[in-house]
Amino acid sequence: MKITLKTGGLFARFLPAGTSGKVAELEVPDGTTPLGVVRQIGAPADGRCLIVVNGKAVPPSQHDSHILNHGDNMSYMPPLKGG
Amino acid sequence: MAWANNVLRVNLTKGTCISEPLNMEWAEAYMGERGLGTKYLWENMDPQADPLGPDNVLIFATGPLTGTMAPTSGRYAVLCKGPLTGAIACSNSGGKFGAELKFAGYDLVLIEGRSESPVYLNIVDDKVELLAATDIWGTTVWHTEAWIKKTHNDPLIRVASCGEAGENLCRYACIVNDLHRAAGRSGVGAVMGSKNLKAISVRGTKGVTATHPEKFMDVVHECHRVLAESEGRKALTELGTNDMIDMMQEFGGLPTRNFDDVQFAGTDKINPSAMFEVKANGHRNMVTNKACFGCTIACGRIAHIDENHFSIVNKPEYRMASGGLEYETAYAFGPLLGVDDIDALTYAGYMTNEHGYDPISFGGTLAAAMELYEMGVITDADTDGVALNFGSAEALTIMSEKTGKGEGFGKILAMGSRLMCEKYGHPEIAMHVKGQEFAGYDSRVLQGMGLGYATSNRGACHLKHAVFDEDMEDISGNGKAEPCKTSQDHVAAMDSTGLCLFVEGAGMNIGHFVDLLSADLPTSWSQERMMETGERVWNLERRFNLAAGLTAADDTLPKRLLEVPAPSGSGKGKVSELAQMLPEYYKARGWTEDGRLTNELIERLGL
Repeated sequence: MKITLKTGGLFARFLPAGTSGKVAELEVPDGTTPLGVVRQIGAPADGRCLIVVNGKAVPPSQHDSHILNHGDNMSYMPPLKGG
Repeated sequence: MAWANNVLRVNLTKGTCISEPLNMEWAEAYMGERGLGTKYLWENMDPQADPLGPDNVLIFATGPLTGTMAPTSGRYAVLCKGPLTGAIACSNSGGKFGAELKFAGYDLVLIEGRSESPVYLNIVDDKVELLAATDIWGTTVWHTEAWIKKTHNDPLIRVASCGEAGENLCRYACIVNDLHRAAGRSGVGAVMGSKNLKAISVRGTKGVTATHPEKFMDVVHECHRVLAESEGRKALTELGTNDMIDMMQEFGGLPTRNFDDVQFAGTDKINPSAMFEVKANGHRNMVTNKACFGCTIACGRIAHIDENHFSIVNKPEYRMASGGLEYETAYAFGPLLGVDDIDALTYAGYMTNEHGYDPISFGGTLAAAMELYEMGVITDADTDGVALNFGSAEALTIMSEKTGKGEGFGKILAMGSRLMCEKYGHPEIAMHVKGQEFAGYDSRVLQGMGLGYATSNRGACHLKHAVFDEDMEDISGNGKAEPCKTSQDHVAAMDSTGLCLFVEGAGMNIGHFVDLLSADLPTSWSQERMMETGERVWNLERRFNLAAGLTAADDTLPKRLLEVPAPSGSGKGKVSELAQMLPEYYKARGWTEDGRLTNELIERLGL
């Protein structure tokens, strides 16, 4: 299935080669989770990162259990603190 | 030991500068910086004093780790009764001033009274004098720093000063050091201005010595290793704190157009990517990053404005690189006002640094003025002919200059949102807690943040607690009271060390602080001792506020956050659950149901 992945901060470097900007369409296995996607692109799987699917935040405790669906929009933002 | 064992007491009314030994009993109980400064404030002034009168006391406090080899050890705090809030004000800053003050041999500088004429305090180790500031009164922070360095023929003098905003008693004036680092919140700069004290300049050559130097350096080395490897540190170094704007946008916690919305369509034009973008004419906003004293994070931004931008096209003096956008500045001038012009935001940031006022409170006050303008409550006749519509970059740049200089409608904006909105008969428009405007996190989706805002001793503040992880896990108010209380104590302890809070998001933890303090100071520290110290500090701040006349009724949020649901994002449809969280919080604190300290608590903490 396919999902759209939007990254934040330094994580854009983990998107597939040739990606322009911070958004890429990815082919992922059926039944995968947000953390599965993070592992697939080789990015840090820090539990404090923010993951949003279709406009709603996924709690960190569900990063590896929330099942993604074909066509989902997922955002993956770094574990930043400060401001 | 890394306390300097020395307090400088300056009485501006009498014109005296006297050194006295640090009270070591208080130092052991309150550590330094925020904590020790709070204790000295409590013991040296009446909390009911007029914040802008001579009886307010202004304290500059370093911590036991300030000026050491520990990472980020440039911090100092400024404490007084805040003119924006009527509550205790404690605002800290980085740069190099704090370390220099420690090198000169002072844990605290305590300022009493009011000078008859403008003066600045010049400190060169043990030589301390009050000098005439007539030539720099009425001038900017930037001019003041350059003038003092030139006058004393020493480019390494460190200067902390108030700009015209402080002199004009802008309720949210700040104290700026090293050109663009600031003790930014609660109006500490107005207190400095009210005392006719333009600046403190300091040159120190004594250094700082840890009690156990070799052990201390081992811990420092480990701290540097952790920081070097941390993903959080890398993000702060490369992108700065403004990377948070994308995170809050995605989460739906980004206050927009005076909290009318929680997401802003223009973030891509003002985020770190936009700061790095090279325009067609070759201009790039971002120039480089910058570190404070002893810091290996370097989250500070140095930027410049496109010379073709309307804000500076006729002002060549601003075609230089200076302090650039950090998250709170970007939020307060961007989404909160609906403005997506990165050069206008950068220009307004220059104004806050040059004239010395808090960008968060200014943005919050201008946002309220924009809402009043769009409601028709105020008109062009009130605003010097400037159309104060949301989204207007022109309004932002013009009003940032007027507020800094105290001109026209800028005098009204200098009142802060609470007083300004009361003046126009619409107090409900002002978004504040205890008179202080909000940082860039919306309480309807970040419930623990809302509880932290409501109970913060200095008014709305995002830096006095840390429940971000809990808020990301659960967007309800359930279970937020205990972590809010615990993190407030934790942060109060960290703020008392002399290091920067950002090291925690960059890999260090409380264990590193315990090891640093135990090697730095004569007595041993533990996590338990740190947390009890933080609890002591928090409760003494609360006691100050209660004595100043604040009550549980001040521990609240604006109706807009309590009654108007978030229109989008992860918290769509939600309001703040403060009514549920607050009683749980008072219970966790061991306070009475009306938010007062019990005798048992006062005795246990030795208050």
